[in-house]
Amino acid sequence: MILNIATYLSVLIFLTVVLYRFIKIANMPAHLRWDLYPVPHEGFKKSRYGGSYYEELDWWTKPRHVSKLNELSVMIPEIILLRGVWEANKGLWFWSWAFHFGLYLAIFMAFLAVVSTIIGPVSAFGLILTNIAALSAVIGYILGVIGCIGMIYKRLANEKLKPFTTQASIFNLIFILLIFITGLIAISKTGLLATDQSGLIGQLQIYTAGLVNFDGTAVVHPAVVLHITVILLFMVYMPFTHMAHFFLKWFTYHGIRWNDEPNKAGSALEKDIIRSLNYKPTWAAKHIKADGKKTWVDIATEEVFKDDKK
Amino acid sequence: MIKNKLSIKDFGKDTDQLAHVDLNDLTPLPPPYDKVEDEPKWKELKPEYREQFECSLDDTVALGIPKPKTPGEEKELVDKFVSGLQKLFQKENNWPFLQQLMLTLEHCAKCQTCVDACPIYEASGRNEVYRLTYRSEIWRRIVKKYVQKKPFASFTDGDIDLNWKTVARLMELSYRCTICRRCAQTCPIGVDNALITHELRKVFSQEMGIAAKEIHEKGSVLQLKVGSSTGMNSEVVKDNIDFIDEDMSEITGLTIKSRWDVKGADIMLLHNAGEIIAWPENPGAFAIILEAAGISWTLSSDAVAYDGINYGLWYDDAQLARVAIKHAQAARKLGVKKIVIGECGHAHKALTVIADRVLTGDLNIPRESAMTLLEDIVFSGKIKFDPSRNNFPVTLHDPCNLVRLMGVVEPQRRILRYLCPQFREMTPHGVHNYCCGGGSGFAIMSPNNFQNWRVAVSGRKKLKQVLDAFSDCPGPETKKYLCAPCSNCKGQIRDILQYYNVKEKSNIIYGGLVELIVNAMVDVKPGFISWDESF
Repeated sequence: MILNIATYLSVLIFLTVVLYRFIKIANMPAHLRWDLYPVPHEGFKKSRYGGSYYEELDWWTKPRHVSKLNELSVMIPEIILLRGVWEANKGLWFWSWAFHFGLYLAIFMAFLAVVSTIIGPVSAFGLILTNIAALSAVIGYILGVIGCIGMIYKRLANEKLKPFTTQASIFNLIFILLIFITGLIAISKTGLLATDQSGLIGQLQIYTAGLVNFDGTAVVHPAVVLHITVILLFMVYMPFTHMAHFFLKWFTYHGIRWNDEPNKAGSALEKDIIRSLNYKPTWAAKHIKADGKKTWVDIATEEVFKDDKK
Repeated sequence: MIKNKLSIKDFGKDTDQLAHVDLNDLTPLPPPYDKVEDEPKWKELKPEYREQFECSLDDTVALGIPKPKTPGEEKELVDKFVSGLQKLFQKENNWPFLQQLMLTLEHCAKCQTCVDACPIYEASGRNEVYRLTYRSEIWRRIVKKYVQKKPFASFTDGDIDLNWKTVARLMELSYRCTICRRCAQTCPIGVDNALITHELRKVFSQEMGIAAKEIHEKGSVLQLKVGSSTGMNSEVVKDNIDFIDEDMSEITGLTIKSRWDVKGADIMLLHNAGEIIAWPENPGAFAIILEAAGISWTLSSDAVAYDGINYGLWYDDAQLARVAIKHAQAARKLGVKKIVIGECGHAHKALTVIADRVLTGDLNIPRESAMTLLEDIVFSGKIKFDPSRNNFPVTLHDPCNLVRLMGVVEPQRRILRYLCPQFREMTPHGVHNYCCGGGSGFAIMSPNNFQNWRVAVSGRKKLKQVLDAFSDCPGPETKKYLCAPCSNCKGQIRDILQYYNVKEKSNIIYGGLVELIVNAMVDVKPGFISWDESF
């Protein structure tokens, strides 16, 4: 029962914080453009070399093509293979990839555990999912342990990384390492591919069924309880940290780096900009001539250095 | 291998000078520039100057801030700095960059993936003080501890002391990055540590009234006061263009007359006025091409609008907006169909990309790159060309603002491939280019010995790239041309070539794109580009 309540609370906190942070960033005023090329939605031909619509004569008269497919062709290798790290930081790549891919597989395992519980773990399809989940778990946890240990070593020993390693960096890695280690302990205590739900995936299915049915009487192995507890603690902690980049990265790419949306007369974007131009800044340097009453429009349009001419 | 190991805590220590640039540490250049003993010696800062001004970062000074005289003055400046940092996170004060900055503050994984992308860090021999994450880490720690006042900030983000030394050094350090944003390209998370340089400069300018004299007092303020950072008023600029037209007519054998204030023209051409003073053949070549192609064009003689520069882009949002609005107002007054921006990278980015979300309503007049227009003209068949006139090795420098930050990559290349039989690329090029080292205002900044630093360190990678591009014909017997379609880049390249005596040793000259176009025009007398008269 306690584990179930802890799970509901952890999921609630996780979702609330993630949603809060997402909305907070999404509701910030439209910013000045800060695009960085290549911008993949320009399509394969242009993004191959980093071109933009500014290469077209009278570009504002031409239809704007935005290729979401090409964005995916960049994002998928970036997310799955960490292409950016591979290209610019090969010494860190394997450890970082193992760490991230281990997490992906662990999340995939949890997803399959939930789906197989819903469709019936003993059905033929349920069994297939259970076996895939088991494979994901064991590969993911082993990769995760390797990745975490490698990353901790790099953070503490590498002369490029060490000066910038904070206590929290190590704490976070140890925290995630604990998830993987307790997962491996749970596998060692319960087995992996047991067909009678005594293995790790089966135990997770029992736990998930209890959650879905609001049934607090389900009993799982203490090693599994320990594993789940570490995961729940991490779920509560993680959205408050820089690790929230797993979802806020959407803004850094789509909202900033690839945001090349031109401002058109009468558009929603223009209305947003006009709203911002009417904010009243309080910058203190004399040449700004802000007094807390003038808007950005006032400041940008008045003859500020008129007196200096005399 | 990291040279000059520094810890974050060293930054606030009361020492005379935090870091030193040893010429032996700089990355080697190809022969005949490879001997350290031939490297020009740096002008040393005088002891009496060091007594009066803040020089505690490295061997050079970009700002020259007078030292506070009392602890009270120091505290006042530190408090102002914190107050400015607070404003960076308020939408009323920093809506233009709030979202980018907040994400950059919160999500850096400190993985150091970005650091090797920086040409300054690399060229310095990986001098720790120039590691871009050194600067960004200091900024993050200050913000977390003194602005956000986060509990457990020293655990989550690391500790730092904030005192006058920290602030003074940060001021200087914000002028050791060209904001080329090559680092941001490599960040897997999308964090932009170059943005921190930009925002730091804003705090110093917008809150504390401190900026590099060349870009503020002699730059954007002078431009808004008299019309141009060159000091030229409307009458003087018209006279100078008249002289240029006369020269161009004489050189080309054509009759060239630039057009001023033509109401209803299709195009308002916006030059960096520095071209008129330093490289008159550039605005001259534009006039030749536009006239030959029968384009309806005009220049504006309105104050500010005959100078396309917008230095606010590098340090001050208010100055940026003021200049951009003046440019748009002039175009609106003339009733032109579009503004075309000449060969100036930062003018391109400021007016086309950044000001796109400043100019609203009828000020939102279409803006276009000259590269695009020139490509259209060259391939339109309106002008006859003889590419054999450009039969010498040519390479292209990609201005960061035009290419990486705006995506105008191919039009200039298509022209060069057509008109220059020996065109060759640098490695890397296009959006992955290296900055000339003069970005973000450096090209016009030479106080004290700053020029030593910006050429020998900041411009070093570019010089190596240029020399490598001509590695098949390194000697002075082969005339070579470095095409840099950007005024600031040209200013920096001029200084690099002079500093290392490249004209004499390698016979490389530099210039814009339009000069190469005119040089290949059949109707123009041969020899528009001359190796004898350059510099």
